Amino acid sequence: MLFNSMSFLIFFPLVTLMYFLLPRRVKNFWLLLASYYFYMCWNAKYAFLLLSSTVITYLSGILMERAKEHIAYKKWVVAGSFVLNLGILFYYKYINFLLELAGQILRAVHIELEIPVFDILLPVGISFYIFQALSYTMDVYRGDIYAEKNFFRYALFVSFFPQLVAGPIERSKNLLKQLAKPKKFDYARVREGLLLMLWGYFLKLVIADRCAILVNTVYGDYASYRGFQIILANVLFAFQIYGDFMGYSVIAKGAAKVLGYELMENFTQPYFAVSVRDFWRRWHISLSSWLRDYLYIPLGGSRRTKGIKYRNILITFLVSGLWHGASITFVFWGALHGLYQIIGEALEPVFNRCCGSLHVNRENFSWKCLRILKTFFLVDIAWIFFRADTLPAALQILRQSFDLSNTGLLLNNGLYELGLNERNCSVLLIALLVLAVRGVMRERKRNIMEWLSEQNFLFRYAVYWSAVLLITFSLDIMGQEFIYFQF
Amino acid sequence: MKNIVKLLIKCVCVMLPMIVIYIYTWVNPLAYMDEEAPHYLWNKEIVNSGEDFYYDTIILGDSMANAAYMPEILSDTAINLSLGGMTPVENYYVLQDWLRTHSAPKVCYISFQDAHFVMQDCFWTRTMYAHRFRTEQSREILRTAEIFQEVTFLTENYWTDFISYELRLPNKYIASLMNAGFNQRYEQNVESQKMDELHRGRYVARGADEFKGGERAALEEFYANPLFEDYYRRLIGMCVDHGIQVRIIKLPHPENVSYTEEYIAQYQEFYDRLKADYPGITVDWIATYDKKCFMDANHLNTYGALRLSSDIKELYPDDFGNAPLSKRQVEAVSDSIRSVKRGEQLTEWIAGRDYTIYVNDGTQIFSISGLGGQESRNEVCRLEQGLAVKREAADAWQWEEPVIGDYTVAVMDNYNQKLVCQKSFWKEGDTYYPAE
Repeated sequence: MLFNSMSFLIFFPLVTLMYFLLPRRVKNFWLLLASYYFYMCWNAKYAFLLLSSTVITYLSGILMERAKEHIAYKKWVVAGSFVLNLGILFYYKYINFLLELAGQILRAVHIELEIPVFDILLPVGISFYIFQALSYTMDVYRGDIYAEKNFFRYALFVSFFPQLVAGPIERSKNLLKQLAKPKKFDYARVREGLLLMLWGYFLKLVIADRCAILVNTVYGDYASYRGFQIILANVLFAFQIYGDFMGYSVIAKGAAKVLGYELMENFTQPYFAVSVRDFWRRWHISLSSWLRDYLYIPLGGSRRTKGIKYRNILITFLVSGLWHGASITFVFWGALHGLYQIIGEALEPVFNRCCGSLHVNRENFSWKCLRILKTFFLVDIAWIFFRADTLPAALQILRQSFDLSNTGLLLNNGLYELGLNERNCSVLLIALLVLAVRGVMRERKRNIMEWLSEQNFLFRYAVYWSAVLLITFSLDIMGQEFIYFQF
Repeated sequence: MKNIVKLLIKCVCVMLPMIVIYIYTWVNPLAYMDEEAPHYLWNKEIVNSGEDFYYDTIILGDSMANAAYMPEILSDTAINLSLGGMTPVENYYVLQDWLRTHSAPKVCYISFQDAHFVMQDCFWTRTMYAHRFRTEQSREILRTAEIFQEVTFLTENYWTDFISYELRLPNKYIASLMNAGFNQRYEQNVESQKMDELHRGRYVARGADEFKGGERAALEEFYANPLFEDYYRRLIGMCVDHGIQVRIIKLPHPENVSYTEEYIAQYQEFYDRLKADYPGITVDWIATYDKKCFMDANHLNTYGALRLSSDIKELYPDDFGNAPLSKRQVEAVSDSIRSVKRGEQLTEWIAGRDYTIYVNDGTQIFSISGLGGQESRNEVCRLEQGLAVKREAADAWQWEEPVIGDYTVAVMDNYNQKLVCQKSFWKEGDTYYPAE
């Protein structure tokens, strides 16, 4: 079931209504049933995987708790949990990729071997719920939390439907604790949750799906496009994936809030980042913090030599790339981000010295803008590898984007021939402007909900009505899925 | 509880623009809907309203059928229920509704163009847009399309589209609301429906424009997708169950269209199977007509419809009887006569009907009666300022001298003692071209 489907618009109010009507002791059980139903709407059989991951990590938690001071035993348990969970992930997500890669390597050394291909359908959201379950295992292992004894509550933590298939990857310290106390109806919270959902739908339907039209046109036939067409497609892809993924996260956050639960923030204006490192503090925070806490720091983080730090950064970003998809393009995308950070950090002293000798004022607005633009440029280059189907395709798109011989397109409305007509372009521009204004406000620590609630009735409703109308206008161009479902 | 009510009220307030649009589009469809929709609404109205008149002949099909069958020529008890863009799928529900609200007719003529056995092209933009069917009927269509995996019905987000139309959401209606300036189309749409009423449902290709194009083309394949065949059979089955004589007519194409042997074999095989399952039905194929009978490559113009309807009347005289024309039929025929562009076609329009054509060639005036023989009831005389027809028991009608054209023609409806139209023509060979 998709958030942007009519079935969810029926499912969610029904689940919410029943949740508030049911007695306290069965509320969680009701949410668990609803969450499994939500997942099984996509593929009933794969609910078994979700259950397996839940049972493995639940039992490992219990076993570790019983082991108390037996560190070696706990290590075995946590290793077992990781092997089994990552084994599931590996089989369903990476086996064909690795077999294909092995085949390519063997062919390169002139060994002809018939490599089998498994007929596997990638379970939706598998990377999300397995990482979430593993974070629980690690937290119990580290003693950060007690193991959850109530299986149903734990199962709900892993399968909580608002964030089940595309995150945020919740931490047990946050969500599991909240699940211990089923919630009552609270007007202000429900209202805020619904407004968040409205904002999420705006991001997905008005921005992401509109950008997708142009992006799909260009990437679908990239050989026919160059220069500004590709640049525009790349810039819009940056907003497409942002609108798409943040839209999902915001809807998830809003839906959870309606039910009484607070999910973590997954994005904080990533395109206002002044460096790639800053970007990763703002983009897909639940994953980057997961990788930081459970991979980068255990590898040694930045505590040792610079060389080891750079190695750790590279490994972390390669895993991040691989987490996104079983394809060499994602690995390349991850590696590129790792390299950005390593090069940025390595060159920082030189850069600082240059700025110092040129007396550059690094506190002013224009300098910040310049850094934001530089970061956006780097991130956007990397998005090409994320979006393209193959590495050669990505390289060709990158090459063609530097061919700027078609500047006339900017003057003769040629850009309207890329799938977005004038009306849709106008709507998109307005929507991006709204996004930018919201970003600026949040950068200035203004809570947009509070700000809106301070405005008079007419203005407030004009905003709501515009959002509702723009969302409904966008139903006709609605894309089928959220991009991050495939991960 | 107070807070829940407060929340619900706020939700309603947020949805207010959609509620307003819903109410407006529901209450006032003729104010904004585009040109095809009023015909769908007229069809819906007449099909779903109770029986105030018994129709013994109904016509089902798509735009080709709508353009071809002229109820005023067939009989006063014939009605054309076909609609542009409709496939056997939608026609099944039209008949279902008709039989729910009316007595079963004696005969049902069914015609579809080949394309409507393999794809739908107007289900969303016309049928759903105009809310032609009830929600459960539209839903049943989609559910069946899902079973047969008929992709032409199953758009990318078809359930979203379905709900968008059912809830009259702005994404489906705002364009026509804006284009109509909210209320600019009302009079035009009301006028369209009056014409539907007059012509008993025939609205496609009304007028005398003629098909000019037409490179040689051969139809090579006849095929019905499973969904369409299923509904076609259900449609015929429903007729048979209600004792309705089914007459399937394959309508003519312009003379530039030919059929390959494979096509003919496939077509015959399809209908042989159908006839084997429903032995009582008749299947006829009217191959080609002259291009001047067509408005475009598929649709007969008004003259073509006259010819086709006359041919069908000859083919199945027992279906229509010989009742004299009713006042409504005469008015409909007169309306068609007004659109005639070729002078020589006027005689075909009045043949067998009580009309008189007065022709002034500049030197003499003569009259042609639709019922044959000499015109005796009216007297034509020359005046100083022109010509006049003195009619029995009615005021004299004065007629200006022709100022352009070789001939000036006046057509008189003797049933209602009314002038139908006055036209001027240039003569070129055997053809009389309009002089306007």
